[in-house]
Amino acid sequence: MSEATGQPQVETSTPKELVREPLVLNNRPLGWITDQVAGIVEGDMPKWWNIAFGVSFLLMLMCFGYIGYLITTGVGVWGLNHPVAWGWAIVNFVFWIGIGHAGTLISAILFLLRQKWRTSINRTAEAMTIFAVICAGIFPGIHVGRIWLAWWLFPLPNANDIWPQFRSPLLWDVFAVSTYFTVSLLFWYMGLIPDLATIRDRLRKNAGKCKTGLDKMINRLKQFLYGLFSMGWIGSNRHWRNYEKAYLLLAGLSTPLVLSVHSIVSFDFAVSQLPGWHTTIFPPYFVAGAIFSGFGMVLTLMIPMRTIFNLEEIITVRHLELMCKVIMATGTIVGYAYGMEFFIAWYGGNPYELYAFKNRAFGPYWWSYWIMISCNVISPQLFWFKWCRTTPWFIFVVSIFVNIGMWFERFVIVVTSLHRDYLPSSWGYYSPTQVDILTFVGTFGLFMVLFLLFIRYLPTITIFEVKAVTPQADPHKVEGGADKVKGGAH
Amino acid sequence: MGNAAETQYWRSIGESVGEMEHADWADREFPEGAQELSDDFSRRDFLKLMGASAGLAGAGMLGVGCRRPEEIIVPFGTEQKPGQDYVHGVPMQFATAMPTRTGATPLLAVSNEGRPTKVEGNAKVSGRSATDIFAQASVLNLYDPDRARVFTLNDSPMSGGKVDAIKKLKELIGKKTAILMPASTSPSRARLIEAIGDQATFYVHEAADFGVHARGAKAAFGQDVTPYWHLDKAEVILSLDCDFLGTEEDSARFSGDFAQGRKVAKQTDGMNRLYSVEAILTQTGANADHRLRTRASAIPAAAAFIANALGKSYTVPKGSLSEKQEKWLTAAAADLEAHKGKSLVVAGYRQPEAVHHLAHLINDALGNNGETVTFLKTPANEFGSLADLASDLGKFDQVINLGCNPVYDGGTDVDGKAIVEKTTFRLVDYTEDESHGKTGVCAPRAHYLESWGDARTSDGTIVPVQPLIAPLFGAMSELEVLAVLADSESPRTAHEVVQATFDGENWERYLHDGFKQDSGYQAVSVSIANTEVTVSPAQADGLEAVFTLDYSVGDGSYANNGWCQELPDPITKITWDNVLMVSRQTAEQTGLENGKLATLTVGQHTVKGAVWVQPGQAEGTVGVTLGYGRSGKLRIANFEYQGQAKDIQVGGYNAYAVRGSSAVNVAQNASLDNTGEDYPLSSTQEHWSMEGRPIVREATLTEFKKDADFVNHMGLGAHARNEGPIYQHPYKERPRLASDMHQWAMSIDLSACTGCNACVIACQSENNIPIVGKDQVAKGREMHWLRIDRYYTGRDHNPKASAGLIKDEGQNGDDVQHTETWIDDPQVVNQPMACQHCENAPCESVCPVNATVHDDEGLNVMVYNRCVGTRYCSNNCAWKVRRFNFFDYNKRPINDLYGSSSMLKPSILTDWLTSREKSNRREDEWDLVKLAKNPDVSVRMRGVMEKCTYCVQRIESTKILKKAAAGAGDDVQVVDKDGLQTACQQVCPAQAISFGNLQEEGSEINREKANPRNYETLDFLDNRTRTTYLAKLRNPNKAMPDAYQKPFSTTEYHPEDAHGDDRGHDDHKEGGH
Repeated sequence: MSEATGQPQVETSTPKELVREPLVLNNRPLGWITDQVAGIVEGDMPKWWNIAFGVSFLLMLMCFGYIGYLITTGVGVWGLNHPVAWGWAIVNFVFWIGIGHAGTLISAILFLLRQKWRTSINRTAEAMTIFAVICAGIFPGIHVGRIWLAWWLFPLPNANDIWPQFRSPLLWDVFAVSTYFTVSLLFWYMGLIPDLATIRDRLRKNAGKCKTGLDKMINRLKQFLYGLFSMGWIGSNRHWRNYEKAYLLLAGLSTPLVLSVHSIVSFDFAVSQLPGWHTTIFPPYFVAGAIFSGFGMVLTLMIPMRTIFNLEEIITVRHLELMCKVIMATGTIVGYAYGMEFFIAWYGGNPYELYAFKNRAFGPYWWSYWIMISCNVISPQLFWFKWCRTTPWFIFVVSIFVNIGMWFERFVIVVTSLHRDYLPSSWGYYSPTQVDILTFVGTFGLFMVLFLLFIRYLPTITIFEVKAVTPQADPHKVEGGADKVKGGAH
Repeated sequence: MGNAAETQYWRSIGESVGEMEHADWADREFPEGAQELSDDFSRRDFLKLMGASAGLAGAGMLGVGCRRPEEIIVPFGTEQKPGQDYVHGVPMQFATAMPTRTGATPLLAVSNEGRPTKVEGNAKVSGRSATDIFAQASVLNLYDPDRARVFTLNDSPMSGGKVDAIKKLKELIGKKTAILMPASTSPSRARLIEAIGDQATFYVHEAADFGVHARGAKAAFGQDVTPYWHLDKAEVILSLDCDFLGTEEDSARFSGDFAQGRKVAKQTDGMNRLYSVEAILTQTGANADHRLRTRASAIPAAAAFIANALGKSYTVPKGSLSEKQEKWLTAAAADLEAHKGKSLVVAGYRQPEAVHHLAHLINDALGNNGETVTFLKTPANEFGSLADLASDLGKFDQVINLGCNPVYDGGTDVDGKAIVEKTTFRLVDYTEDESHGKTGVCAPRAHYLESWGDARTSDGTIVPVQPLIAPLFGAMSELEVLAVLADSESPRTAHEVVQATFDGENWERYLHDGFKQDSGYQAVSVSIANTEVTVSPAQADGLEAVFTLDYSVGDGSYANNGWCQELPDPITKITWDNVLMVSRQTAEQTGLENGKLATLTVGQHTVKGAVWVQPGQAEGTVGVTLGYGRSGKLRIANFEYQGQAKDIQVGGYNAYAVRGSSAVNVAQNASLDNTGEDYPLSSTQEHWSMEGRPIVREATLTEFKKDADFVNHMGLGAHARNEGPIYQHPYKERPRLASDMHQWAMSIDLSACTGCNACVIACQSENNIPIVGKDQVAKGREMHWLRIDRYYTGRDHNPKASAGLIKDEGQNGDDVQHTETWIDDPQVVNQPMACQHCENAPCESVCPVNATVHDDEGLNVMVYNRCVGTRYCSNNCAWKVRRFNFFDYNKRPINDLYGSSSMLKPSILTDWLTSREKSNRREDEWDLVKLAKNPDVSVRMRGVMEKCTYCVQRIESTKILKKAAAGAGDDVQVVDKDGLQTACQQVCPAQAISFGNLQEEGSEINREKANPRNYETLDFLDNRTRTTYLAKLRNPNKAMPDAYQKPFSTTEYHPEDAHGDDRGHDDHKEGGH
């Protein structure tokens, strides 16, 4: 294309530094995006998938086995005691719930803030949210002493006219978590509908290529199921109008939930009178921590995935870099909260509280505190360096540290506060048992089973939304901004 | 009741109280034929019939079910008169007594449908309802599943049981016989022994010999008298290794008397002062105002030194006392002298006769004899000891053993096996114990709650031992055996023997009241007959072993009692084991650490035990606790873990294995060698320091006199501005929620509490609290609703300096406390800790299912049925008094809590469907365990939280009785004189616990709460606890070299005041925070 028909002057003279890197690299045509994403679902899974699925499945079975042992024998199979009546179960619950924060944040809040880079990662992040909440939901259910009566936490009408106690934060948890799960699931599913329809249509197109009868049967079945779940989507103007409106509404609905869930989870601690739990800083600090850990987990999952499925052009380094910035910001907030807790413990003049915090840092569990500090406060600060936040393998390593650090944060809060409280006579020490540890490990199995199934059967990237943020889709440009030389036209 | 004598089972309620009208159908097996009854069939008869059927059903099902004793027993009670009718479902009380080595504990035993489930002290006899822990725990011994159940001959069951055994016993008469028996004060036994006369020679064996009190008195006064201390009259007490608040016999009485002098109610009140000289930290030493730790072998020298300070001139062996110790003793002697006639020097059973002799001489010089100590004319001991039997053994053809276990507790010099080989007849407690012999007759020995007998209390009052139940396994008592030997032609029953011994006017009154009027020993006046005392020198260096009875299992006779095994030692807080106690420095010198296994060598004998560094222990001594290391088939004392906890060792070491008969109490030249092995110990309280927190508040008497309000000058509450509660008090918000009739509250006097543990075990017995086993205790899962917190405080200890710092690589950071110097001479504080029944209860607001709620009478109640077990309440409880059932502790045996074997049984589902009662326990165990339960208290299942209820079952039954008595009237308010007491309050020997109704004007609880010493723990939390404490007072002597102006806990709280003047806390600084 010649100069005369070229782009306006102002754009060509934009300094190189100010040119935003496109969200999809290499000017890929729109069809390529569909092929790339839908291809994962349509093609056979590579060998590693089968291996990973097998391992995860076994871990999941182990998790269920240990839960069975727990239910038949008693909560005593865990390391709990007096005074530490909550241990790994609650730590794991808060950990998984925290992870579940990134997805909805990415899809809802970033959507409302018109952050277009969210489109490449929101589907996977939301899936991660749902699976993390499932893992989280297991623990409060099984940690109670009489699991078969856990349903008493729900406000169900009964003959005795006994209701749950609405002053208890545990009850608030029930509402908060179940609402969050429901809305997240709806939001995720709704976002899936246009892509499910795409796959349905592609299956129909590919039906002719089926050679054997069995393949045909499978194709039919898939068509039916994808068709069923795409709810008759045909991409009409009316569908899109409704879809956009509903999506906006759900985004608005989800946004406060992102903030409320972890605030309420933090109330489990903040509402009590235990030194180390009873602090007003908890709700914002927990929310920041949850976003921090959620993004950590998104990166942990996405960095290998983009490599394995050749999605580097859709999930670009720029995406990773942006997420690193979120991690750095929230990590700094978390670090500030740690410092502020100490300041208040000293400034508040309550010797019990001061002791609780000294004990965290220098007591018998000092190692957990310093693991937490190094992982959560120090490691994200590395992202001040551009190299650090643009080098995928390095980000991956840091994201693992973030995950570890955030698990330890919850461990520090739950266990070190409980093990030494008001009366030194009741001080004790808590160590997990094999059942504690392996049940937790098992939940990763469950999580991975769900996640691998998601990769296998659902489009991991929101095809239609990514298309909308490509240069070609820009309505203000000729040919949608596609580059004749580099390609990108249809 | 002719037929009743032949039947084993209780057939009717009337039978028990002797109503003749039931005799006509008592012989029918199933009295379901109501039409066969006489015409005047009333509703009452019908109910009796129903009761009988229920009883039979139970008996048939359990095999060992509810059985009334054959003879007429007489219930006790204020409303009940002898022979009064039984009311179905209402527990009855019977006066009886538990015989002890040197006396008896008069008791009121509670019978629930024929099952004794709880004992209380008989206040009619002793003036107090208190008992020690052993009386409380004895109920469980009755239902011990390991009890011998069958009569055996040469180790095989005898078909005729008891009848055959008696036949066999008769055949034994005529041979040269030695009879070995435990100590007893029974007048009936004495009578039978006299009747047997020369036909046999009698030997008495007790592992712990308390005869030294009488021998010391005989040496001093030349008469057969026993000193009888009146601690309530003594203003200054010096204990020479005398643990009168703990292991000494009759400690419950001493605790009560001692506490009289500690309960200061106003600034003008006086207070007694206790000096203690001892080697191992005993409960008495822990409660002393001044404590001198010294080798046990130096105490004779200390006694002589005191005597010399009071004008005598005995040779104090050189080098036995240090200069510092002499200063201490001089000042103490001066204080004694200043309280002539109002002081008392007491010597303990561990000390040799010389010390007792000297104590009498000192008391004589102080004019105390006849004032604070009187002397009772007691019969002289005419029996040989076990050692005598061992040397005389050749003279006899046979030994009849009436309940001794010479192989276990005979010591190193006695060939117990030789005695066992000669034993032809033995009363046995357990199917198989250490002295189990394969020849001769073994007869199950009857428990005191199932046999007739009598005994004399420490002041000589004759008390009946009345059975509440027919022997569970047809057991025999020693009186029955002796009765056969005394008159083989027509042996009388124990009942007849006791009745004949009684020889008084009103047998029924005797049984009803539980004592014989004016039957006490005669008090005599004595004068010194002998002033010659030889004082032995102390061991110069090296280790000496001090043997002591265990606080929980005694001499080992309670070793198979789960309550006792799991009862934390009041000093060490260790359960399930005994330890080798050494001081910090001794441990350092010998390279020992807590929990290391060491070999103790005394002479040629060795034993391996776990080392425990004990604060307050004298240098160069090792405390050796008796009563553990049992062998034989004892499923509590000696159980083995299965599954996960297999490596847990249980049961401690057998101290008798190194205890020779020449040095039963203090053995010289012992040595300890570290084996390098670890031994897991289960302690219920791992942290020793109070960390400078004002939890137990203390002051000296002087401080209290200056500032009566000192309790309110401690703690955060004294510093914070009172902005008012954040949350409105529920009763103030809605006053209609609170009852204006009853508001329950408790007050515990920390000055009176000695930390004796009686409340802990009474609570366990009353409230069906399960034991959990050693490995669960190690995990911190013990279930005691009431625990006693014991803290050590140190003179120059500033916990704030090191608060929360990493002290050690060790697991819980407490691993190094036993190496810190402040523990050498600590002060000890005890605090009974149970649910505080907060008005603003933090547990209630966090329970998601409303399982813990407040009632209108101020109780924080726990609804077990509603609890799902989130344990949030426990987390939010600042006192950590809630207890969670991590496993099905009631239904599972403690050695198999983790096992899932029964779960994997194919029959699990059908088992569960057919019987919810199903337990993993062995059938015999399960049957018996159930019998010991209090039917008024739910037995909790796994997964629920539980805690102190203020004995709500007692509150409710008192209210019901009150309402029933009020009829149409409105006198339904429960007041003090209705006699409502919680189990812990009732049993407390020191009467440190008060409980009652705040709505009753002038009630005891209101008086206690008005005491200026009254304070709330953690008051700044604004939880408004209903249980409050009266601060502890100490009464130090300024002239002592170890004087202190403030209790160490106060200087830990205000470290800047540690060396300040004696100005109290008026100019209170905030610096501590």
